[in-house]
Amino acid sequence: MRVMRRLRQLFRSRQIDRDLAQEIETHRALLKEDLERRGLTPEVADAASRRALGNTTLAREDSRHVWRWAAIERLWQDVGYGARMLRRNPSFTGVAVMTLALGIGATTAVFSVVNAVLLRPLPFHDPDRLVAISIADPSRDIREAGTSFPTVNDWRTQSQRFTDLAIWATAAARIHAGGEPERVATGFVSANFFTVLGVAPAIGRVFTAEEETARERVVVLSHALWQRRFGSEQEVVGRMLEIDGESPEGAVEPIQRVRIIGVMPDGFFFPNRETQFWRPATLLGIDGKPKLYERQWTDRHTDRWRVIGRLRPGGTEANAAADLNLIGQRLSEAFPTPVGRAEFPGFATNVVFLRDQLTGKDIALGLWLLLGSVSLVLLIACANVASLLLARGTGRRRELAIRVALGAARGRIVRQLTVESLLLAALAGLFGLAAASSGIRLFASSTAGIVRLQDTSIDTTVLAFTGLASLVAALIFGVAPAFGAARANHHDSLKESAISSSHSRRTRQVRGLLVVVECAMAVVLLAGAGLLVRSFVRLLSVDPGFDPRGVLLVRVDLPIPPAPGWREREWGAFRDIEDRIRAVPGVRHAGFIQNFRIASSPRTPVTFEVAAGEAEILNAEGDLDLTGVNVEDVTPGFFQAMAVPLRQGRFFTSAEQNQPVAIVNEEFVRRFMRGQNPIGRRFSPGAGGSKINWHTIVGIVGNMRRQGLEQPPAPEFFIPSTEPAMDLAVRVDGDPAAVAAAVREQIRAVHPGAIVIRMTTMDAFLAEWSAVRRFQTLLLALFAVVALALAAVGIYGVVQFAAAQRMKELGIRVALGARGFDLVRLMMGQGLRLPLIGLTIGLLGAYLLVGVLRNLLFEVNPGDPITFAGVALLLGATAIPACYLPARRAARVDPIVVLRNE
Amino acid sequence: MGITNQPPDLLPGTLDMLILQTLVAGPKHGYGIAERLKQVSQNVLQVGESSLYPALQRLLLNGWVKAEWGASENNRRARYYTLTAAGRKKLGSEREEFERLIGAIQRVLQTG
Repeated sequence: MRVMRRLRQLFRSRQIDRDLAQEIETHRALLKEDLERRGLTPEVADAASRRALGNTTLAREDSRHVWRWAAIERLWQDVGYGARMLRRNPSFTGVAVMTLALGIGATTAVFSVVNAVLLRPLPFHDPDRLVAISIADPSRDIREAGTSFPTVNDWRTQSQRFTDLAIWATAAARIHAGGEPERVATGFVSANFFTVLGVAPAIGRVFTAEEETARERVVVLSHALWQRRFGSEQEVVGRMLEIDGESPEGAVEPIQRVRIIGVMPDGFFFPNRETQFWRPATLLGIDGKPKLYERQWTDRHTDRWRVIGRLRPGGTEANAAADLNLIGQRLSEAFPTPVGRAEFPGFATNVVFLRDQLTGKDIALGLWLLLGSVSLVLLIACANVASLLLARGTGRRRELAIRVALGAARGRIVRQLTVESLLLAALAGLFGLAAASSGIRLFASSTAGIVRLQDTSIDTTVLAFTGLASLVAALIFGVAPAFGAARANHHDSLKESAISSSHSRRTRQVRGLLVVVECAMAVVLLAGAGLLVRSFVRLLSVDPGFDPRGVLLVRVDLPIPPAPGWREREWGAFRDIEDRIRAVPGVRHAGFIQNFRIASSPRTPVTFEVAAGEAEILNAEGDLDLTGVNVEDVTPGFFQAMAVPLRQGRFFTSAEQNQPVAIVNEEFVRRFMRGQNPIGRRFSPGAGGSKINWHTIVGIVGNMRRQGLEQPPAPEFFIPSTEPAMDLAVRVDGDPAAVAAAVREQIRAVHPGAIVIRMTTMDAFLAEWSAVRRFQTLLLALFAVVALALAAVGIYGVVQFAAAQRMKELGIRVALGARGFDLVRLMMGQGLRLPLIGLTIGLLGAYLLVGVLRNLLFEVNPGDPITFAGVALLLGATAIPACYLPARRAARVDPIVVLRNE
Repeated sequence: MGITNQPPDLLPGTLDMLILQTLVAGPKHGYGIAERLKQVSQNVLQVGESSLYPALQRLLLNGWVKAEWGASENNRRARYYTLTAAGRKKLGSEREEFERLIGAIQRVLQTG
């Protein structure tokens, strides 16, 4: 109770003071009235009452003291005193607070990303027990492949490590009903999928096992889709959604109506936020053709399904993987890969935590790396502020000495200085937080495809982190100067004018050490950033195999119902669009390709005819090294639109739809043609056998790097055909964005129901490919530059301090005939020693540390000598002016002024 | 007037008890408490404001009295103190303790 009243008093002390003052005044007034009643004149009564009361201030103070709490009182005093000291030195306070705010702000911003992407639990129940199970065969470069339905069933029944396993796959889909058709991603999931994740729907229910086996047309919506399409309508269950798209087996489905049975809660996503609804995995595709798909369900040798599982207590990733691999061993013996199914990934499994799969290992590594780097920046900022405090401590020695002489305990002095440091850090923390909150808006809007990056925000975890970072920073930069100041010999300080006392010598040593540490840390950051920048430059100089300048890329989706002859109508529609767009002023070429970007490594096998006219077949799995051939549908104008060079032969003509002709790329020729002339040679997609479908090679084009610039080009062939959704490339003279409206108009003119899913310039599209790398490189480079700037400030400060301490000596030297140049050389020789030591330590440390970067580098060796030499040069180029400027100023010393001051 | 006799030194803690006792009859402001003490003790106990007000703050802090602003007899703003239940209890125990002490002192004084 008393404690509560006292705490209240802390916030109401002014009120209590006012009350007391008034109360005592009332007391006096009443006394005066009494005196008047006894016959005194008002004046005499007034004077008498005042005299009677005596020292009312003392009475008030005594009364107030009743409430006081000695410890808190003194702390308040320290805080008040500290605040006054900071106010009195606005330039020191400003520099220190801004330096720290920079470090704390940057660290907070990066931590908020780490928090959102890596630390915040996934929106599932007990997410630490959820794992992703993939087929992995490093020898064939297979990392995250799916598996077949029967295999998942075997895992489910035979392994004891999981409470359950669920399957999922994603597919493209369109939503029709209500407004503009919309392209979204959808998930096909088994009935137990949501149970394994442990998430209940916000409205309605999820699939039942009966719905899965009976192939009911039901759907569960994401919260976002429900809000957008149904205006958060509570009575949504039972309503219909009109959709089309791919079936779980990858076939094209017609428009159909599905019944809504539930809505997932806000925040739920799987496998990413683009996935807008989920359907039971066994949902039937096209009516009347169930048999075609039945086979897919019994086929062992497919890789359609991704698998998640919930570990039982005692199950770990390792023993679960061992279990599944044991089962896989038996399966691979029982079900050997049949001839012609080389693309089947096998039965070797890898189990990782679901979080790691959803985020991606390299992304996690990159983010931790950024957090580590930015922490170094914060440490450098702390070192700078410590150095500033030490310098100021020298100036404050008299003040502190006087306080000690007046009876202040050393502990009190240490506490006083620590409170000042905490105040600085708290101010810096506030500014840093403000800076971070604008910084994270940039992260959240970044195009880098990192799952949950857009969820970056300042939550309580981030606030706690900022508070902790500020506190730790205060301890780091404040403790040494505080104890240094308290330990100093105050007796000497009072007699002082002796400048080069032992105290300032020690201060100089500590500050020198700080500069060495700062430089070393800056060098480590510079080396890391340098390697990433070099990788990025390397990446930009990679020839993509096409000319992205002046190209507009448009994804067009034609909802042509699969009625008889629909393939021809589709080809015709795409050809019409191509022709019309070519007639738009400014457009030079236009053409379609099935998918401009290749998301994952393709593995279509190919069978070759040994020689023209001979029936003998060379099987792809024979003596040919066939890791993967990519096949893509194109229309005749595509290669010219992308400026892909024709090496030999010819392009397709518009009459060649679905003709058995093919254009191959140079990599295809290099891998399979073994020096023979490819033109006129025949091969068949697929692994031979009865399904031979000979294609004659009519042309050879250059390689395109469409898997991202970091991947080597894959062997590819192109056939003249179309799919319902195609990428349109439009090459124009001038700015591609200028024809965007005209292109859209022409597409609509040919097919009113056509959907333009995406429209970007090719340059922007390519930038998106490297967005994550750009994001990492830019941030790390930024941190390195800030670190370097802080280190430069540190060097400057130390040299200037040294010059100030040696002013008298320098004056004497000038008086004895030293020239300005000699003094500059003297000061710089000593000043540059520190960054040089720092550089050596930093380079050594960087050499040991850059190994962790290996996975993030592209065609650059972690020990890259050019980078290391560049770092050394850069530090030198920064340190020399940082030394020279204060040295030159000191060299202009006027000996008369200095010596007279003695 | 003007010359006030210094109040005799009180035993420690007795001032608090005396103030509480004056409040048993009803709420009073500071001046009223001082006057009451003076009257009842026939001018022996003249409590100066420099001990009265700190004592009142102490009682407030311990929750033995409550304070409220109100109008005095002459319509002046005055702060009235009221005894709380805890204060009443405290007064009782203080009183017992005090009587025990006085009794002991008297017994000592009565022995030749």
